[in-house]
Amino acid sequence: MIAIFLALALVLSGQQIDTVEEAQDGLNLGLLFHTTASADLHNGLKTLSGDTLVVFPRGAFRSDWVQLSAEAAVSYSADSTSTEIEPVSAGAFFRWPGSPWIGTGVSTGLIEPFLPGFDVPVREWRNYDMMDSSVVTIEAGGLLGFQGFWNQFGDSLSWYGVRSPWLGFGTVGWNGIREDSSLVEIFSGFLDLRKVQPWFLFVKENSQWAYLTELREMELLRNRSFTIEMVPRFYYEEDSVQIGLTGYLRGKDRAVSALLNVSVDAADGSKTFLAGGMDLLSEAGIAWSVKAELENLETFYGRVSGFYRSSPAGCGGAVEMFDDSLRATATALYTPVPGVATELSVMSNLDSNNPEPGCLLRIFGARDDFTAAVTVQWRDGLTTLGMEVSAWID
Amino acid sequence: MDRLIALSFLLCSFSCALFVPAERSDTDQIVFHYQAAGKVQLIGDWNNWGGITGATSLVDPACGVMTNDNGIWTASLPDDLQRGRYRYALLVNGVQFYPDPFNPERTMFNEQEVSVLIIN
Repeated sequence: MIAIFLALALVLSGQQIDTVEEAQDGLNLGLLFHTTASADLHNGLKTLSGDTLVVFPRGAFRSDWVQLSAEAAVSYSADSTSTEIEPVSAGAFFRWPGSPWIGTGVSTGLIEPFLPGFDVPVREWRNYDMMDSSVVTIEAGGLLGFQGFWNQFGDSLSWYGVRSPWLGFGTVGWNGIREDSSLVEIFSGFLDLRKVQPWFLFVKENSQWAYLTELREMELLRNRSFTIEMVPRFYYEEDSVQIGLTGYLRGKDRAVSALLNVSVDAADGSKTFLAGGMDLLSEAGIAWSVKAELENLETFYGRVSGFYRSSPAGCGGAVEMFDDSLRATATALYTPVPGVATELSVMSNLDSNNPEPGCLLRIFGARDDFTAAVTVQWRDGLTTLGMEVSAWID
Repeated sequence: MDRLIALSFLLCSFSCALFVPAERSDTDQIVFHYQAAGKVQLIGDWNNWGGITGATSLVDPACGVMTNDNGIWTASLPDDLQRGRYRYALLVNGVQFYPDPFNPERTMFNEQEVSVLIIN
């Protein structure tokens, strides 16, 4: 608790941030402090259910030719009552500057496999067991502008890809992840046909494959204030064909955006997905947000919220609908000084038989390289306290 | 059905509301209104989410810090972004994730709703 208030005091005494920081060439050294604690207040503050303090010393050197980094963790946990020192990440990369380029490196704890998709990634970070995260990396490029990479994690996991340059009419790429006998590969890209841009994605997982395409840049309306774009979509896999259409509204000089999405399974008309949403900032300064989803004409989710995030005081509320249940949240905000926010929320089901009331108090602050948060939550008769402080020192 | 009618009514009501000017000068800039924030960071696929995908799962407090002008937070996208799709989000005070309210395209990342940026 003392650490929290010390951090908040540091936040209060700081200066406003007004620059975007970028990685600098040369040697950079620093320390990241991170501490968390939580407790069940019914058992008293002394019964901490989690209590850690970790200091991460970091070092990095960057130049046109080489990039070196190393990070360790010095941690103290109430559970182990001992201080542990362990490496977190380290890497050394060498790259031939300019073009044609070639690079290689070794690292641990820095890289995780990832296969991008369209709206949803084909493989997300942490989809794989990264117990052995030591990586050998090879990068190559320059031949007709193509670029490629190969990351070998231990002896069982590979992540690789090739990407074309801009070909004047489009670009293509190929990515794959092989783990033991399992293989996932995607071939993706898009074409620029001036009036329309077809994006395509082939996914092959072992012996099964899927295909997804969508047509971009088909604008129904473009004026000084708004753009409305229609995006037809087609998705095929061995036992399913889905056809969809999404309309996007983007404000150009107005703070508004919206979407409306309809997707139907061609083989089974009852398998549908309807979604709509809108975000806008009114002239009064209220940030409105509406979202609704209806799956297979059965499962419904909706959310309506409005927040007035002004300083020093603000308020807001939200109503969430999930099938037949409604849950409402009311929130009050108070900002005593810039950078420190106090947020009190009370919530309840709009059902007198099952109200499930709750209450959440959060105090959080951020300034320069400090962030701190205190959370007190009450729900189902249980009160929990959580604290978190992070500080970065160059 | 009643809920759908109610939501349709709300959507129509909002569309009739007065919108505040976005003060968005060009399309390669991300703008976010949050007067009470002490710090807002723009993190996404291009900067490894500030390190949250690394071994420590912590966001580097110095990564992608946006410029503040009386509660209007702005940041420019990196010049060297290649054509493609990227996920990104706005991190307020190092604690709260928000999608970009100016961008209707959304997806999920780390169980949070985030925005999708298309460079074409």
